[in-house]
Amino acid sequence: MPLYNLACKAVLDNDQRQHIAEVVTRTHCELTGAPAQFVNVAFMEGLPLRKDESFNVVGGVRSGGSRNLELTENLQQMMQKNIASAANVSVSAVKVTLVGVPGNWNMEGGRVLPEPGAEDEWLDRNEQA
Amino acid sequence: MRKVMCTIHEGQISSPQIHDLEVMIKRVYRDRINSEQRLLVVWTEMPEGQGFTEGKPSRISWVMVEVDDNFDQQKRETAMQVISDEWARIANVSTGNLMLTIADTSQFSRLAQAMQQRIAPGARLSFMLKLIARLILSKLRHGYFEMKANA
Repeated sequence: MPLYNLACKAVLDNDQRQHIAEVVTRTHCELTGAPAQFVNVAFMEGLPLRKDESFNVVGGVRSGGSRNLELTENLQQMMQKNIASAANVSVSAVKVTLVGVPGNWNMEGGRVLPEPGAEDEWLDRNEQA
Repeated sequence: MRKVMCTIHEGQISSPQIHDLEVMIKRVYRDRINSEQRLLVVWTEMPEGQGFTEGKPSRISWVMVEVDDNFDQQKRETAMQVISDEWARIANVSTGNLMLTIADTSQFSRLAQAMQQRIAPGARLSFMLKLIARLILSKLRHGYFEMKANA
């Protein structure tokens, strides 16, 4: 978590996917401070999206902890802008919806995820284990 | 009826393994979460090169399980641990190959609804009919509901 499920009308090539996945990961980490290893991106292609949309992104992101409404709104806007730039489409052709899920509803690598902001301690603990 | 959405990578998990994973998820749900709810498990198969973790291609499976609102956290963590361990054993992968979420129905529905609503209204009926046909065909062929990530 997060998992960004990125649907698009077109079929992308490997380089395009790689580039967009890197941009999504970087944007998420820069704004939230989350470690890159938490960030997942899945592509679903050739979907009949709404007429004015080339990309529709649904992101399940951790909520609570250090994250507030302002940060979430900022993340949504920056994600929209940066994906549009990476995919070379207009900002209005990208829709991003974020849904917050408490960190401790998730498990990765057999461990319950921490609250946003408590990642360093969690990573230290897991490295020692 | 509660739902479980499993996204896996093409060719990574065999059909008998998918069958066993589904049996395991249903058993854990019955024993640890809710013995009265019926459970619908849907598998989405993603072509290679469409999944990324840390900005790099990855083959992590993503599983989201729907539970009642305000589900007990201790029970949630126990169920996650059992599913994670059993998944690794059955699929013959490390626990690092699974991202698992057990989400209250309110959040689960918000995510599911956002994904459904992105389909153009004019195309929604035919898209859903095609999807249902695929799911039924897969159930008849393999014994579980499976669809493709791409249209």
